[in-house]
Amino acid sequence: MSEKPRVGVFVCHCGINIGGYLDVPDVVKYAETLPDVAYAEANLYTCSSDGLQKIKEAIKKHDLNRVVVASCTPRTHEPLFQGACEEAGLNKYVFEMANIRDQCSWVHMHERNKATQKAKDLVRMAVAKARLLTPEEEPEIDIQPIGMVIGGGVSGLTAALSLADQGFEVHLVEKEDKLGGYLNKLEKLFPNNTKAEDVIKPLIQRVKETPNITVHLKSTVTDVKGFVGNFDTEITTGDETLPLNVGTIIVATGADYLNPEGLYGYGEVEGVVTQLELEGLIKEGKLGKAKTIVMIQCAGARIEERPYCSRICCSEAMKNATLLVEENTRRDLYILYRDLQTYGLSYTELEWDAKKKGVKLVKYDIERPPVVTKGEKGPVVKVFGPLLGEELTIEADMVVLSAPLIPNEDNKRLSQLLKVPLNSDGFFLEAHVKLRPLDFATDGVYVCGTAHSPKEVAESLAQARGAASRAGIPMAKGRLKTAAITSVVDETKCSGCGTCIELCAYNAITKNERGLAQVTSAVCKGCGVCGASCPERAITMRHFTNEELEAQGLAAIKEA
Amino acid sequence: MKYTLYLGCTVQSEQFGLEASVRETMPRLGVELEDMKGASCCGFPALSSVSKVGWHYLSARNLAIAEEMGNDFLPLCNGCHLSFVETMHYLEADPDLKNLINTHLEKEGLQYEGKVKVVHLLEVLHDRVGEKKISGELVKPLEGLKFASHPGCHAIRPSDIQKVDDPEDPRKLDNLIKALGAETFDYPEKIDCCGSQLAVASGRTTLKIAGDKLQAVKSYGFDGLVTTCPFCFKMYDGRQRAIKGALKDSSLDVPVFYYTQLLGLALGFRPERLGLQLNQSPVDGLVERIME
Amino acid sequence: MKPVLVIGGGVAGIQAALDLADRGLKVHLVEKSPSIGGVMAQLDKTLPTMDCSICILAPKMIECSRHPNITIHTQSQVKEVAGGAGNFDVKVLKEPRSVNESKCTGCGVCSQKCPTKVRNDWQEGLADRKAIYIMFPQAVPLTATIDRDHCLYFQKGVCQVCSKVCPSGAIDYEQKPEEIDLNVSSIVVATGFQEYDPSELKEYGYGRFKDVLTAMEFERLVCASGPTGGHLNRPSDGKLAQRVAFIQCVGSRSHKKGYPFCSSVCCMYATKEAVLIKEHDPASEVNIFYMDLKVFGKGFQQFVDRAKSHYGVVYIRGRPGEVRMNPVTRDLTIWYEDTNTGDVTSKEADMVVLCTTMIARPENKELAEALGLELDEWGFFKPLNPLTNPIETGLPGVFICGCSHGPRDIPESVAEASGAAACAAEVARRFM
Repeated sequence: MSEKPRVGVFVCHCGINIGGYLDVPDVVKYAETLPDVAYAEANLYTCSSDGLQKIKEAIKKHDLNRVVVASCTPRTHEPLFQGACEEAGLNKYVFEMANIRDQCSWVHMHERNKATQKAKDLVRMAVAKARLLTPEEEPEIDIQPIGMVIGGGVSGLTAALSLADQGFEVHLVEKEDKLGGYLNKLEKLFPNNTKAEDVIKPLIQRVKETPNITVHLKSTVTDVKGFVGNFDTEITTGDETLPLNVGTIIVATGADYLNPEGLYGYGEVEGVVTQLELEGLIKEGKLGKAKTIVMIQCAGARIEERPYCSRICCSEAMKNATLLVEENTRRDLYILYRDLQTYGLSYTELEWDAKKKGVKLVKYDIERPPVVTKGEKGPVVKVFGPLLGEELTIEADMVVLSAPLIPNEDNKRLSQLLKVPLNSDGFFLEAHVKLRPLDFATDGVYVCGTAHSPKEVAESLAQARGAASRAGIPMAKGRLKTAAITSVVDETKCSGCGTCIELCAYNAITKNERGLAQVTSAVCKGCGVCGASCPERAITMRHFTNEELEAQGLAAIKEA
Repeated sequence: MKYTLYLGCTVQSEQFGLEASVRETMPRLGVELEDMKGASCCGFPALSSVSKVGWHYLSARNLAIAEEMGNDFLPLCNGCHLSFVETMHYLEADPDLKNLINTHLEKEGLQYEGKVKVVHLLEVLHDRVGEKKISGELVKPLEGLKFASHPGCHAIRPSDIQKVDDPEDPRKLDNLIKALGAETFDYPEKIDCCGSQLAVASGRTTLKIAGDKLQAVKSYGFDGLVTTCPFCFKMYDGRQRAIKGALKDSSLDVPVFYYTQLLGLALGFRPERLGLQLNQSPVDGLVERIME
Repeated sequence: MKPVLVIGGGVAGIQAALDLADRGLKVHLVEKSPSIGGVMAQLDKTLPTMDCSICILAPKMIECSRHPNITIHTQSQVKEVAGGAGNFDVKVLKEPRSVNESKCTGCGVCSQKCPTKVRNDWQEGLADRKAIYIMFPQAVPLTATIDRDHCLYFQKGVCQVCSKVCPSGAIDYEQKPEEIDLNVSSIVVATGFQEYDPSELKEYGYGRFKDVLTAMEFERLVCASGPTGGHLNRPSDGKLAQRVAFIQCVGSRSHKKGYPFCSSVCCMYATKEAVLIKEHDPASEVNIFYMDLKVFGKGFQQFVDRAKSHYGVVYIRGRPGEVRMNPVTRDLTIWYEDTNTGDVTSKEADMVVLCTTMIARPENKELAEALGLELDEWGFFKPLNPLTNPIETGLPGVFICGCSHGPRDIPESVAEASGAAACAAEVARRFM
């Protein structure tokens, strides 16, 4: 391979997709005139096995050391052409694509001349960059086959068990002195009224019996350094600290329950409790003579200071109301709601069942919420029901507030330690709401359960296994190869301002011992934000160096 | 095909156009009609509003007579038809009631067993005679004319008991209109009530309800309104003048026909044989056009 | 280790396949239609971020096709299954495309020249396709298929234009159905859902009134890759729809017609579609007729709040009684009771979108029989325990995820798919 750049340009007809709308032979002729272009040809379908063969042959025959394919989108075809280059003995990073289909022929279908001109521009730009490209090596990192699960509730236990079943060692870190989380406080779970202890106890038992799960009770994570495959963490139990080196971390820290102090008479009027407290009362058989029970939904949720819906409260209220009515058919149950959130197959059943058993559902609007005052014999609830067109006054024995799940107090601290974000409600924010619900943008850290957002047990379980699957992937591979498109810091120019560290969404940049920015290539995603924001222009991107981008930009404005 | 013809009160006492046009046209379509002896009111709407037993008794005795006669039973009026269908439904569901009724019927030497088949004029024409047969017999196809279909409430509701046609999207009368060579199309008010039952409680409201529909029908460019129910016809045709007054719409003028009247014209019968001279809505112009 | 079978190539199947393949397991991804992608590929945008749906899905589809551990079998269905966890013998039947997959480049010339037009189901019947066709532009594999039921050659023995114009010689009329035998350690069922057909709810006029659409039809209409290039030209007369009404709970929450359960996602997708309309045309009028507004997901309440305050979408609590159409203007009138005020009134609209329930696919029955799985009364796959084992089934080694076991949204389906992958990986390891 010669030192001087020898660029091969392959312009694709793509059947009629490109060739039908611009003059491909003309573009080829133009390409031949560009600096350092040693060879140019047109293909009918560059991506066909035939076309790929031609690329490989041309590389050998014309001693090409840079390749430009002007065709469709790198999104779908870049790896294919890169593969062809590699097979002909070239490094895949000397390959560049010009998209003259999606960005040219497809959007200028009725302007043949202009489209041809634009295609020429795009090819010129690609060649200008390709001339400057250099081979790159892709970094590889080792992944420790040890997972950490933070949180020993139903999600954490499930995730830990799944990881263990996949063959990994697991450290389960729980801040309380026992495992189980909120399920220890609940009585029966919807949709099928299984006892909470029948769900949580077997899980705890299994975890205790699994040899490769080490449980750390009364412990919190107090430091996290490093990156995927090699997190250097520290957990603190009482006075002792223990360093743990793990490959992946799953956040399963759950959520807290709102204390609705000041809402609907809670804390002021006797007989006003939360659903959580009701669970406790049912469990201990302390309901006594309570006959008229009013449940108030959205108690502290879907309001300005807390706009989100806590998902489970309507189903929970239906379940509890039905249980109470079944236990004592003389009970009078009211559920005051704004929008019933009983969804899906099983939870809608709860709603139909509750209605059949005589639970009264009364809609109220946020503009006129219920008012709870102290009456002679117990709390009195006044509520305006728009569907009734009148105000109801209910002399209750008990008022149950369906308060929302709120983010765990510790989320903020943990999010900073792990360098993962929280959303505006204070719950952990995943990498992508739709397609990466369990991942964080930071590689190697995952989330599941109510730490992500309020949800019921079944959904937490599915997510916990999902997070274990995600965490298991890098650990199963053992080694992670990352793209070579990463940023490089020129230490001679870096002033240590830290802007790049602030902006990096993937926590790939840290300050080294000289106080200067240092990139962990393995974690860097090559987004370029650091390079764009560095005031000293000390950062450049491999495969998108400042010189390459400048050359491309200048080529763009040059006349053909 | 032979049917026991049941006229009911309104048809016999004033809606001669329906009776005339039915008797005139059915033989041409191969339908034989046998009159009932000893028929009485079906009980709807007056008695059915005040006495369940009285209503079902009256209905059941007609059904019992029809059972003896052996043919399928054809009441001409929508109201009567539903009355009979409902009686059969309720007596089937409540054997005690059925026994009570039969106890009374015994005094006349009648017994109701629930075996007779009650059919609607729409069913006879659409399901049994069929559009093809009708089209085949046309002498004066009603080409170039557009008619709005008004099946009437009692032909299609309540949907769990009355099964003559689809309650939300009834098509049979529409298809029968097309079979005459005329055009028809869906319009939003098609299944709206004519309002006649409300007349007892609020006359003005009734006129408004019926008038709104006539105005709508006119706005869509229909040449006329077609129905099979004497109550509906009475409302739209007989009371059109009052409707015009109530709506202060002197130009309303919507021709209203019984389906069998249009059928008769299309089959080549003379207008007088179909009782068209008795229609109070302005049908003359259209009739002339058809007869040319 | 033995491979894993994933049945269904929608977003859930794709996610499960990728998770398994990334950890080193081989995966057979079996998909009934000519391309993977499922319903998500048909959507315009996804809420709440309003990402272009196919744009975020296509890279995953490509990843599947390029992944050395994934073999995609399209036009294929599982017919027989024997054995148990760790050792399932599966018979897959692959219907012939009549096109050689390795030769076809997806150029599309055959479709261009084919003389026969057929209803395009992928475009929800709003446009036509040809008898030889590529399912959609981003199809994976990007290979043509001949619909033998409508192809002139297969029906009448004439034409064959496609084979004459194909530059790669990829047409193969002699292609026969292929039986593929697989031996796998576990099976993930990700067969998805289908839309309820609202024709039986005659009061809404679906089928009678051309401008009453289902939600999927609306997605195709508003999508830039749809029949009108994303312009809201209503089907009947092409008039730009500026007043759109959404009716929720069509086919759900009813014991009379349809299904009693709540379809979970419709309130949110209606909000998304309403926002899309407003983004296309801020002057448009959008009304959503709902029963209870389901906002239980992450960020959902805020999305609805934004739709109301920023975009001006109006929510009316009331299940409409009837939709009527004016035969002259073709405009629609919705009669409803606003339950909050008690008024019985009507609203005019240019177009009505029926937000239909997600229901079970009829193919579930055959598949359940082949696998030996139970279906619930609605035809969805039944989990082992809806509380403690939501993604396991009564059969060890067989797992379910996504809408195959009930309505749920994309993030949930994706999370479950990863969950099912974990379960399958555990089985694979156990039987190593």
